[in-house]
Amino acid sequence: MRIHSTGIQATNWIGSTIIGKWNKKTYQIIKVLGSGATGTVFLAKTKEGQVALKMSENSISISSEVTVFKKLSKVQGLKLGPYLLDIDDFLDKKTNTTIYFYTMEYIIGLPFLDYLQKREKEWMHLFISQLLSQLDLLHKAGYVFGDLKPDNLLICDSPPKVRLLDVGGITQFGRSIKEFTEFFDRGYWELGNRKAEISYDLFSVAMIIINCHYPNKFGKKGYSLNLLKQKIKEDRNLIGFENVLINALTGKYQSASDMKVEWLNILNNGIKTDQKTVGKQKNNNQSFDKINVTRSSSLNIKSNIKVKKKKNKVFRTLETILLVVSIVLGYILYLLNQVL
Amino acid sequence: MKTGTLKQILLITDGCSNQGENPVAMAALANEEGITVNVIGVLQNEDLDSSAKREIEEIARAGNGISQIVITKQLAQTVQMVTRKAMTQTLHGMMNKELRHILGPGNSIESLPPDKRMEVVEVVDDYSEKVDLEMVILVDASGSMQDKIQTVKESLIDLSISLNSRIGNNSYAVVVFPGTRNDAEKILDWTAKFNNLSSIFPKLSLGGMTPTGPAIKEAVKLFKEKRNELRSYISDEDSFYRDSGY
Repeated sequence: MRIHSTGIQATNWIGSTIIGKWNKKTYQIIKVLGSGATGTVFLAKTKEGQVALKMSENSISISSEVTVFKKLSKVQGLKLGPYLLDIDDFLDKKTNTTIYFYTMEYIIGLPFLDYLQKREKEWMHLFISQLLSQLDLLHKAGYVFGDLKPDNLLICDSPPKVRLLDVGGITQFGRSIKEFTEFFDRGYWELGNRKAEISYDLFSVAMIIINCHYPNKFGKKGYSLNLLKQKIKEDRNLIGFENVLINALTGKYQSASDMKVEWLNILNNGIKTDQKTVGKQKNNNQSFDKINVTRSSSLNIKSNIKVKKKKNKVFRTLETILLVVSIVLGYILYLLNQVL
Repeated sequence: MKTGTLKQILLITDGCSNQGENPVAMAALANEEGITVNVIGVLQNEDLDSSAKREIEEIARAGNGISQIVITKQLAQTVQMVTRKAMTQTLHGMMNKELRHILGPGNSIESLPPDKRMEVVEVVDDYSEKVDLEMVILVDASGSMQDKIQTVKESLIDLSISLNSRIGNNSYAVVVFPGTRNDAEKILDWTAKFNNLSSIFPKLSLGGMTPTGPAIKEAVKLFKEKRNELRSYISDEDSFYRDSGY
């Protein structure tokens, strides 16, 4: 998609130095990091170190992205993407046009799918769980990420952690999603609208999981839900997650943490989908057993909690008795002291 | 700021007009009526007749809108983005007019310091979410569009998913050109939803005629009809009050 990236000739800027008109900070452009519909991101050098700098001729897109940054910075505990550092503009003397830019923290990491390519699938399981926790924080602040896709996920190493990039698609609840990518967009699959709701993001999470197993993606054909169900069934690493995926695709979850609970439940009960099985039929049966296992084990967890509660009760009464006894003893000692 | 209703024409075509009024002039005329004209050029592969390209750009410029050339596969997302961007641009223009009114000539959103600019942009964002939209979609139905028309249909349905997710109201009308009898034929009258759009697309005429100018003229007429409908409704109400003695 190229709509207004025509103005910024990315390579022309490499090596040049720019100075912001308002804040007077100096940036030396080193290289291009990426280019999208709303501008080009460069790596730039400042006195304080390296930063990522996003440039555009379009003041609106730059300003609205910065607005999102500023709002997110107020959300406690949310380490969402890079931090905003500066916002400014300058006059490009060659073309006599104003160029708008903002700078943000430069995050070093590997793209989600690249990282997973060489590693065990446990990592994917972990990152999805981390992603759901981050989304939950964002949702609690009243925003939806919108353009959720592997390209917008970066893995930072030691300890490995997933971070969300590109705040351009973040949308307030109830508004319409403006930036999206076909494969991860429920509107494209005709399984919902483009209203900013929790379920919109969770749909994308399910599609990211599917994308991990279908790196080449696939297109719409017939009734989408049936197609997606079929694709899940056809992959032996996905079949164990069928319930979670279908629930996310059909908007059954109230929150990202609900989805995370189910996701972790499946992982804790061990999916041994890698076991050598003879034929698909057997594989299917196995997965059925697993679902049952999941249910019964979640019951077990509940009963465990009950046991804990009972223990707590006993402990509390003991505590109270001890407290009362010690107070009474203290009082007696005090009285004795007075008398003597 | 009074936003009223945004009026937009979206023209989807793959080549040069060759019949009737000049489309660039018609687009300029539409703009005189407060209507923005946006153009999407669809092609099968990257190469495009340079005169077709020039015409596409000129129509959009005259209509104060946006033009974009895409290959068929990318159409859906482009239709969505062009419409969005055109809406913001129109609102942006209105905002600038207000600013000049308040701060004096020579001022615009761009001349504000970054902090103030962000505040203004937030207001523009807010309006583009809440403003009512009236949109006439003009679809080139000449022979060369034959293998693209299916994608056009899908793109329009996709567009309505996006626009109907907004808070503001939408109404659409669809015109194809050439029509079966006239240069331009309305195939969908003002409606809030594109239901059964697939059934309303007629068989494409396999002639070489592309009456783009007359199609834009037809679109302007549709906007006027809609306004008149509203006006007659209001005056009806007036007469009702008069009759009842108020």
